[in-house]
Amino acid sequence: MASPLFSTKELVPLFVVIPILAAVLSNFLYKRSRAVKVLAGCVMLVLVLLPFFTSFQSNYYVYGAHPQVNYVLKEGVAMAFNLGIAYQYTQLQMVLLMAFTLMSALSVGVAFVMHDRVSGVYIFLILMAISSACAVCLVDDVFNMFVFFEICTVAQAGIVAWLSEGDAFRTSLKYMLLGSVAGGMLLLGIAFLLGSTGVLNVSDMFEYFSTTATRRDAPIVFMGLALLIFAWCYGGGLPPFHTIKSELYSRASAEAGAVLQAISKVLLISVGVIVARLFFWQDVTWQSMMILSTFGMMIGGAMAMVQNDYRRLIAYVAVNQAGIVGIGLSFFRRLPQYGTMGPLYLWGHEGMAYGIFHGFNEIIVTSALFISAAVLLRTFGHTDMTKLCGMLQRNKEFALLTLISMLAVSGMPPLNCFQSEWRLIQFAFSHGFTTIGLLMVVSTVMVFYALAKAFVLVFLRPGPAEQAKPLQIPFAMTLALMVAVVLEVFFGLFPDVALDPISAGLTALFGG
Amino acid sequence: MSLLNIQVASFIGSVSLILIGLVAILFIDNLIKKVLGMMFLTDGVNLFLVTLGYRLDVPGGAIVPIFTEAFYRAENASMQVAATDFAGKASFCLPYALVLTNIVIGAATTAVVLGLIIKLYQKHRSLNASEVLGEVVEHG
Repeated sequence: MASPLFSTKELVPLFVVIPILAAVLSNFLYKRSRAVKVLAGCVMLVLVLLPFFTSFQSNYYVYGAHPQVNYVLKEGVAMAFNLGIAYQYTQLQMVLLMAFTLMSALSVGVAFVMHDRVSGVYIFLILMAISSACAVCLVDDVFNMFVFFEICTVAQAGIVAWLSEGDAFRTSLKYMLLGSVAGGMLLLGIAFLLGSTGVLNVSDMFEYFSTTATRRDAPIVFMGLALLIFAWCYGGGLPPFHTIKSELYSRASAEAGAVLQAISKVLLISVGVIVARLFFWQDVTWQSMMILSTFGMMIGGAMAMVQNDYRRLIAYVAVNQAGIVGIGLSFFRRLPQYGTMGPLYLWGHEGMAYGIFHGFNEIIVTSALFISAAVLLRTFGHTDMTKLCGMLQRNKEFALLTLISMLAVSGMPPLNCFQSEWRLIQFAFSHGFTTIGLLMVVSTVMVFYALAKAFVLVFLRPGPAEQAKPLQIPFAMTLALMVAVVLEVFFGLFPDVALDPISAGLTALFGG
Repeated sequence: MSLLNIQVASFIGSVSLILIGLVAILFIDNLIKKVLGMMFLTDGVNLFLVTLGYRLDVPGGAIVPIFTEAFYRAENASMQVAATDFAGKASFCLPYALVLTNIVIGAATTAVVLGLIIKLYQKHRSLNASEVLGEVVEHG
């Protein structure tokens, strides 16, 4: 991927600052729908463009009161404080945020069409969720990761509760209660790590654990690992949190579901990379990540097959795909390379790059599917597949765009998810994870079956004559689907455009 | 009680609070008691963090990491000595900063949860979690 246009590393905090300021402002604007739309539109445009204008870095940078606050106690006696947040903005974060901000912007555009009067509160919640997800992706500090993780939880619950329905309130409350457990465990894990290393900075901890082999086997460090992985599962929607996550996606307004699942993928990858960096030296790290992800993948695929609600089906497909991304993230360890001299263990993050690439693709594809659910919801007021039919007759363009996204998430060539899933399956087979490779193939078949069933029911099944009149879809929705399909085809044909920067980013984070 | 005992007692107290909180959130049927459990859990983690800040290596006990008035009144030379002495004796202040932030987060989270409970209570006229949370209609 081409280098950014300017050397503008100081722009990195704007990923967090701009949406927060806009969120506060949109909350004040409240019922002024047009003003809220203009504000949110401008902010999302800036966020989409920001990754192209921001220089990526291979080291971390401290922002806020940069570089130091010199506090003069008395003439001749000064104390220096370094107040600020450390951000990590490598090519990996750049690529991830490109996909995330673009799909979030398209989803916000769809929200303008879905709701006649866009509430400032709704946009406030969406912008806060986007801001906190960007922050979790960027921070190089475990405590700030916790803070933004918590903000993200509250904002996600708020997005669902905004619908003001009984089920939405129930789902939000359940999500918040589980979030309080996950957040508490995350902070406790961070406390264990602080107690054992004395620092909170991820890069410093990485150096500490890389160079201090004697103290890293302490039980307190393992407790920290277990608690961080627990929070990782919550953030990414892996078992035991797959049920509440899928419920969260499907209870939210459809376009908000697209944002929520994209946020989950960003949290899954960002927290996963931090866990891998901190505990790369311990086999139990990748083993636990792999087991939990495999369960998520299989449960998500199996549950998707039995759903009759289109949104619920896509929600479980999102859980299934999170499992595949998690499996990819667990491929970061010393891997045996089999040769004539027997196994030779080499450090590598090639498989992890494939996992992150799949997450990148999945953000695009699943968002497109949620947007297609938004079209159905807007047209019919529900997404019950047993009652939907004949959409192919009513709008062929919409049917084609949805079909391409369905084929993409099912891993069909030459679309983007095929490139990532194919690489992951090849990697699993070539590095001794035959069972995992086979399960990934099975899960792909399950997802294909579930989506094929959905397409037949919603699009191919002929409807009554009175439902055969052409259906007009708002331009914003068609545009969002078209952009997603163009990206699916583009990254299917040119996967290296995203894969190379991801690999370069991982090399910067983990070292060659 | 020696400092070591205080620290151990604090750790035991924090673990107890965390366990009580977890049991309340996961197993008690009343929504308000679940919220209390959330607060117990948060407070337990906060106590754990504060306890981490203790320093056992300072004879006579560590001092609170706050500059006193006498510190400012000292002459420049003696202030340098006092600063070095302060750095050697002050307890680890980073966990306290984390606790302050976590208290704010806990307050915000509790407010949101209580707001949701009020909305659900208005509909169901009940605070039983099995009644209020167990009615989600599963599709498919």
